[in-house]
Amino acid sequence: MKNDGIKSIIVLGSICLVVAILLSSINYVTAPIIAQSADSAVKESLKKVLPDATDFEEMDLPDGSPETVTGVYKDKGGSGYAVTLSTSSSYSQSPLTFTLGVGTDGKITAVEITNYAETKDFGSYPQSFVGSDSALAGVDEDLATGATYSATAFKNAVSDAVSVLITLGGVNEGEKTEEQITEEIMVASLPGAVDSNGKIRLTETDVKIEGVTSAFKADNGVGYIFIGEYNGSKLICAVSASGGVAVYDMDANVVPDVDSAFVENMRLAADFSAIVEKDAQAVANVLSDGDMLENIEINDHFGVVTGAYKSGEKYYFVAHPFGYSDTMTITVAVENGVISTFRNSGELIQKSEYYEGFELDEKAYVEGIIGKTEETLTDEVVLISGATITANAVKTSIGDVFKVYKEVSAK
Amino acid sequence: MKAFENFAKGIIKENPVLVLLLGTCPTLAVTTSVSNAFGMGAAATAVLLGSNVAISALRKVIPDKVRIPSYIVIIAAFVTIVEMVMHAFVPGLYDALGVFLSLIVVNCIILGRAEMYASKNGVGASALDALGMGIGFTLALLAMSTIREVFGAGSWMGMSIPFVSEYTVPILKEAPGGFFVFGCLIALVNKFGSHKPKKEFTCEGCPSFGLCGGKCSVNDGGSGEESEAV
Repeated sequence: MKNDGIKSIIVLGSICLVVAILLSSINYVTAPIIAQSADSAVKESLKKVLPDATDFEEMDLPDGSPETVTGVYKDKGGSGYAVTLSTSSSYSQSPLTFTLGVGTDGKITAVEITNYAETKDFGSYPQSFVGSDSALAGVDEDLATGATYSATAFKNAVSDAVSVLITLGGVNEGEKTEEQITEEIMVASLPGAVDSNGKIRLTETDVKIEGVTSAFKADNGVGYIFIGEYNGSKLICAVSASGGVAVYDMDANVVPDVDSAFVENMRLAADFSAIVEKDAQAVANVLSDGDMLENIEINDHFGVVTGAYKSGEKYYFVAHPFGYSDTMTITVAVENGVISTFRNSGELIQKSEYYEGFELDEKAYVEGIIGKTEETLTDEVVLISGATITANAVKTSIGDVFKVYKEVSAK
Repeated sequence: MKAFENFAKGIIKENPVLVLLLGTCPTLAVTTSVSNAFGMGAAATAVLLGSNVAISALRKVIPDKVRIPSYIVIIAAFVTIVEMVMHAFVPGLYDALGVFLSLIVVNCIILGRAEMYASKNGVGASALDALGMGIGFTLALLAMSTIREVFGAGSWMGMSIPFVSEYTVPILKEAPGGFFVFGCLIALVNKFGSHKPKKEFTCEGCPSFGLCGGKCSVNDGGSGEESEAV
């Protein structure tokens, strides 16, 4: 019996030993081939993005390079550079990997996707990068509808790739077009009209003011942007619903000495009657009986808060951030720095925004926000699993509310 | 003649998938395309051949008590070898088969043949049995994947078929379609197959038969027929 046990141990041990030796010898043979085939897969993608290249030389990545850039290869023949990238979209577990071909003039020559695991097809979005330089002009973000997270991750990775090449001295920085510079200044001058993807949402309107070449109204009604000429130079003027006016030149600097009549004309042309009425209605819905309301002026606020009111020690604010498919109307009351009321007109989240299986207990969510101060209102309180856009809208609104509250309560 | 019978029985009469109903999981998973089915069939056949030969050669050395762990170590070794070789030489197929390649270790066909046949027969006969069973498994996968790919995706081995590709039945590529085709093929083989499965399918075929000697089915009030058959 004892011998049986010993024999079993010896036989099983010997089988394991033989198997281990066999596997390690096969691994010795196959491991270099596997490594070589992974290497040739990368080389193949390099050849695809730079078909005229003769031979590639891997370059050392500079210190502090973004994690997205996994390798930079230079064509020894001088046709350009190939950059391998890997990025996580936080939507999918599997990383998005692709190779970018960049010419010596800094322009993207080709994009080759090597791994993409999102459910919705990317469409022709990646190819819209071909031909653009570090300024990324001409990229058509509308082509990536339905794959927003990956599209943003993709664009950021491309920016990383080009900035690494600029650091390495391979290419020069690209010049931004006037259209891009204008959009950047518009985003900075009226942040309340920017949606959760960082895109400013405006509609051109017909306004006739001397010196103004084009006028735009924010889709959520928080302000207007006028583009015009003053003393021979192009100016961008933002007028917010709360009464703020700011004028910028094309270097994104504030222009202080603009003719007051010119500015006043723009202020008068901006029609905010609809949003004022909406704000009054929103506040009336949360007021207690007998509360006397006083309208408060807000200076130079260009965010999502459009109206501020006071009743005793309580301040009421109305904000209009972009929600999942429509503009939201959020009313927040703050008393001694503490949120006492939080209300969204209508349902906070539309059913279609949720991923399958997620649903929010809206009552508990609102109760979680009430009683919080600017310091105690953490991202965890505001976060809504499966409804990021609405959560971002709530976060922006409350952030702007506290900014305005600090200003008006200090008076 | 006996050798040929030994080899041929796995192809139709005792087809591991359609008659013995073993290896159902990979069968349903990889038969969405013919090329994957062929790759899985070839990989399983190679493992089956290697493990049957090794187990048969060692059958007199391996003590009864540790036979199952020994078989699993041997089978796992062959699966790892196939995996490494496939990763090195056919990386496309290796990526396509994914986790199902590693799962050959727990494929009932392999352990079933080791326990039922290789541990009791000589090396030559075990090799023929493995080849027959492997080919039977591969043919079953090919039949299923052909139906699923042709009518589900309108292509064969990735080549588009004119006319059919315009009128596909996409559910055949999904799991319910897999079960449907699987059921139909089993029905066909049962209808036209000349013999019922042999008694290896009974209690004697159980990997624990050596330990309990068929007592468990009696104690559990199990099938009396099975006990008598033993």
